[in-house]
Amino acid sequence: MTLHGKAILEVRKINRAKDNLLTTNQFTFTLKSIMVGIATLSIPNTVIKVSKQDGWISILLGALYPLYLVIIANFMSKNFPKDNILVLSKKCFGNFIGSILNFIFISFFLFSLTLEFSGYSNVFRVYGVSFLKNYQVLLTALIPISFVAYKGIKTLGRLNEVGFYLTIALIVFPIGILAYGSFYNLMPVFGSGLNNVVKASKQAVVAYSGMEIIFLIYPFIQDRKKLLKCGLLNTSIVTFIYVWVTIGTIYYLGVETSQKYLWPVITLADSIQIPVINSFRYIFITLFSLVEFKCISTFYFAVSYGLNQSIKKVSAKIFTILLYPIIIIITMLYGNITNTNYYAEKLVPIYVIFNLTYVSIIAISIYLKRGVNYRKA
Amino acid sequence: MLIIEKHKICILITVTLIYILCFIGVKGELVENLQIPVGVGADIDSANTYKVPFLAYSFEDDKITSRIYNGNSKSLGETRENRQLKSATKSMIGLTRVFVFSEHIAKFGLRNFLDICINNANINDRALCVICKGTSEDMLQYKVEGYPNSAEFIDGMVKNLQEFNFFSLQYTLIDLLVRVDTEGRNALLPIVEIKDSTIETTGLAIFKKDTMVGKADLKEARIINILKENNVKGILTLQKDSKKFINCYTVSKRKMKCDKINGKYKFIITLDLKGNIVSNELYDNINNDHTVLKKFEEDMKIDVEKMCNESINKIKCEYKTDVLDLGRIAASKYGKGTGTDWNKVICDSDIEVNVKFSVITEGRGDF
Repeated sequence: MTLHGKAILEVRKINRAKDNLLTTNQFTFTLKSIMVGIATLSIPNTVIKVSKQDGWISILLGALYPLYLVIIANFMSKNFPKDNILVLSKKCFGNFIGSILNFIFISFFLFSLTLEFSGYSNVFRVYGVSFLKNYQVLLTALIPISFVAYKGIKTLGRLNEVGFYLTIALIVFPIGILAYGSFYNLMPVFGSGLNNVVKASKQAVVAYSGMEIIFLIYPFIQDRKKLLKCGLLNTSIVTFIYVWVTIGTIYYLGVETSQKYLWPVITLADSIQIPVINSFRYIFITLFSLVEFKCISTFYFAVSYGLNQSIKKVSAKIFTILLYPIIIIITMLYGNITNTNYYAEKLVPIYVIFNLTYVSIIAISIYLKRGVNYRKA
Repeated sequence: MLIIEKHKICILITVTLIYILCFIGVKGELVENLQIPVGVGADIDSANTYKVPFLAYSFEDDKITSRIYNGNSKSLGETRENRQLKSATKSMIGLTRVFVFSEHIAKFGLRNFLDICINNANINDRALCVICKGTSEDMLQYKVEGYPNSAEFIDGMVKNLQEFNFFSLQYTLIDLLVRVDTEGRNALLPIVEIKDSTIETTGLAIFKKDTMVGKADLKEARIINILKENNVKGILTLQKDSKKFINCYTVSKRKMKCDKINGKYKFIITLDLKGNIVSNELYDNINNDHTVLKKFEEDMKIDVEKMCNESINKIKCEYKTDVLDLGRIAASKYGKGTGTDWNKVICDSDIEVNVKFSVITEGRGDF
């Protein structure tokens, strides 16, 4: 082979490597799409239960959780820009314990995915396609979702980038409610007591889960220096969405009426009145499924990529195909929304605590043995 | 990777099969086979049987007519079953434009009906709600001349109530849902009646939670509307006899203030009324003389204040309900969820009304 040919091959290799990396926007919006899912539709209720009209303050406080994760991720990325958390945990805990903890970490994504999917199926069947059965929705909806996950991180990043604008439009669209509601519903601020506000912020943290994916995908970012900026931007976007949705719901429906709905945010869509179309609800829920598809795809990618990183022999694509029936089966087991919420309330907090300790311990051990043992291992 | 390349065709076939298997036997619905109700009634008789009549369009050749489908049962959900036995089409709830509650069910309580509405994701939340005298079936069945059915007439009538009489457009289903259980709020719904071979709005029904507790006639309803709603329109009149009177088309602006003095609440309602003179035969030379105009403004102010105070006394003594949503203002200042019964508190507290009246235009001239 000539020298020239070698050079071309080299350039191609670099290009291919670049193709696998995410731009700053794509990275930010990938983080955003994994967080903004079905929880957006019911988040006002989770906080209103405890902190009443001050629910939005609890949500602001809850944003500390993703902020913490971003800071830790930034720290890890500075020390080990090419290794994701699964590799680091093996270095930290040893091969055996590290692998077990990694599997628990990955199972969190699988569990969140199925909860999300079950919630999606329930919302969609109530508001949109009441004539379809659960399995019909699940089997068909999972095909495009798995296709995106199958195509890998770059496709996912592009989809999330395009979809971001749709999400923002959908969430900000119900601004028409300002004509109907009342500021009296939001008053008095801090009337429910600081104690309750803090208590409710624990519930809000659950809605922010999903941010953990940053530890899996930070090696994919093109410009590593911008990781912190991406993370902060994403956290502020998500916090803005949640706070707006909560303030909107309290403003429009009030504390008491909001709790009568399972998904009060869909009610906000009704404030848009278009002649001929009876209610904007159907259009909202149809467009929202696209948001939901992005969210589930990102979870799907996290699971298949994580498994691939643990068992290197099997490619991520094969894992994607193998996961399809598993996801369907687990999702079918949840059934109706009350059951889904029951499992979510029980297990998600445990996972959040696990993730927090898992991530923190790795970070601390990196800090303690900075540059000594790790580099050699 | 190789494995996938080899079996690409298998995956393709599986995906196609999944789609085919999932959608075998799913079919759409013909519009002729659908019962599309425009008006839904709700009634309960003395034997506690719910009666829910649907007023639905029916398509004959090229003519569209409407027909009543009755559903009677001991519980609300079962009325659907009962109605299906009497109809030749499949019911599709969702395009409703009017809910007509009879006085009877309003006094019995609307909670069950609101519950079935909130459960159904297809219900039109912007449908208008009215209370009717007599049974709701009679009201829906009534033929109004020039309109295909009574539901469309009521829909148009209630939507345009806001033009006069200080009504404000807050009689949709979602407005009712929002008001029923919220602290310090009470719903008002217009009462419609069949009178002189047409349907007419004759007053306001006053609600405490989900039950109707009183009826205000139109004269009183106007004052309640002025006091309760912001930015409403109507005509104020001073009259001596049938030849001497002055009409003023007024737009109102209302502000509320709440204070707590020694554990007792005090409310101050400030009304800022801006009037356009429509007709005037009472005051001479009003367009040229500044003092006459001032006198008219003063007279009107005293008259409105008197009416408001009478009305507030009636609210305190007769309805014993927080009709004016004053509890909400107090709650938003002094804390929610304290378990205060605002209906009781309002009856014991001072309500002061300050009226400002000013004329902005006098029209083309004076005859």
